[in-house]
Amino acid sequence: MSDLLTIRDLRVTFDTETGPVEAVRGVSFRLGRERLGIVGESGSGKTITGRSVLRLIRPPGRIEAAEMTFDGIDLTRISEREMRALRGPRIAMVMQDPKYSLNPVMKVGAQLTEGLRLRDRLGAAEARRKAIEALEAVQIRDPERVMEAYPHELSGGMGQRVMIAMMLIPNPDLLIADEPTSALDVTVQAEVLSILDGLVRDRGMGLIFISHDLRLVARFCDRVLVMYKGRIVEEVAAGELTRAKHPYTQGLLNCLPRIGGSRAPLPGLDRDADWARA
Amino acid sequence: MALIEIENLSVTFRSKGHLVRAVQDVSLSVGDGESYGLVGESGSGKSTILRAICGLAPVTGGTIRIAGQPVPDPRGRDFSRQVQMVFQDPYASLHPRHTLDRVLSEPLAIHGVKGDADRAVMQALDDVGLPRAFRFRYPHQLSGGQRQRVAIARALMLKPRIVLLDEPTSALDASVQAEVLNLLSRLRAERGLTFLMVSHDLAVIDHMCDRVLVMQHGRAVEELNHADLAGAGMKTDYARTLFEASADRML
Repeated sequence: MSDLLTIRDLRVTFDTETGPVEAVRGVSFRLGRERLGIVGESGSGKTITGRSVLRLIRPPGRIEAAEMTFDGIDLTRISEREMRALRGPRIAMVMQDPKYSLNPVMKVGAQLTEGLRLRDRLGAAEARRKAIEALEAVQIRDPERVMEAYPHELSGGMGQRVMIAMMLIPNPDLLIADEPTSALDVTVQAEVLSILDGLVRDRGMGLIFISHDLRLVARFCDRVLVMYKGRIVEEVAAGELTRAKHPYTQGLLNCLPRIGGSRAPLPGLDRDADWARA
Repeated sequence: MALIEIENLSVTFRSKGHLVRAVQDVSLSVGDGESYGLVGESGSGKSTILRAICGLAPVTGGTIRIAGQPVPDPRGRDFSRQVQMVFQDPYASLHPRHTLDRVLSEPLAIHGVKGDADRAVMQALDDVGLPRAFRFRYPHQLSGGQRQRVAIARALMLKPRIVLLDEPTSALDASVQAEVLNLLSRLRAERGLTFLMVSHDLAVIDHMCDRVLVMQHGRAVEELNHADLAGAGMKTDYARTLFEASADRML
């Protein structure tokens, strides 16, 4: 299987008052047309890794990589103009929080059709038809109403689906989803996941699923990368998660309460162990 | 006798002319020393019940009794000495320009608690596992988990019998959540506290609570005890749906 995305030795550095801070320290992975999960706690560098693929790191942040190739294109070399042509049509990203990522003073319909009108130069009626199709694809039952709504008039689950619909309109080859379901209720979460799942299966899209929720990622993805302090500490097949070898992965799993589990104190994570200091 | 008794509680808000029935006709009772959970999806009214107990949401029907006495309106100091609340977001619930010392000593000052406030603050820091050196820090100098420890310490300053916990760990990383849950369990055991805890995470509720009320659209759906929850012994469709959607929480 040919790789859609290859990342080798990715480093992201931020210059701060107290000297450079490496948020991502030598991350390497390959992605085919599959579901890859990246998990870690806050500050582990998972979101920065996702944003780096789209080169969405603002100065003073710097991205360096031995290799960053998407479908044969060298992402480290192409111009900003060429990069812009990739963002959206080829690689899309669903951001964490619909509250902050949708334009609050623009109706949903206008936001959904903006790209179609400007980028694809479609007429108003055609763009509207495509936007409604996209909303239907993410299981929104009354797309006409949603098109006329402002983001604050939508619930969190609806907003998140609107974001996914927007990213899917240009039919990207790679979707990076950053905590796409963290703000959602469990039942809505299940719906959003099955929408994403269908897209990977039916359109042959590659998916990078970034989450702090180890069990969710294990249930949903094919492979999981576990990140800690800017490094990948372990890669496991999702089904093998309970047999993870690295003490950090094991620690993360063990510290979660379980339905029907013991009510004894939950084991904490030993942050002083050798692996944590490296 | 039950320590918290809620009978047919309704909370109705008026928003832009129309009425929003956030809680409708919910009854529950929590025994002394018990840990009781409220679980449901957003908008199910679980947090509103806690807020109604504290007087932060308007009670439009039904009664709330603490230790047999109907709660006064406004709630007043005696109420605050018995009932305290810990909020979800440790970034929003601490005053950004008050040091921990001020945050923790303020309840004592308001209630005119006699005695050595200095020692009480140090003791409170010890109790929740924060170094004494943190005493003059500001909230922005602490991590999320440390802040939630401060919020717990503040809630315990007046030695209440009841602590209302509104999603106390949902803003925290998994390993930090474990530490905070352990802290809450230990404090409850040491002080015989009664918890009324809201969470959307069935695993957290299962770990912490003896009984749980499942809520949907402002109404009580089903009450489950700990064995029913773990053993999938729910009777209503909604409770089962919620349980099945949380299947990965058993892993």
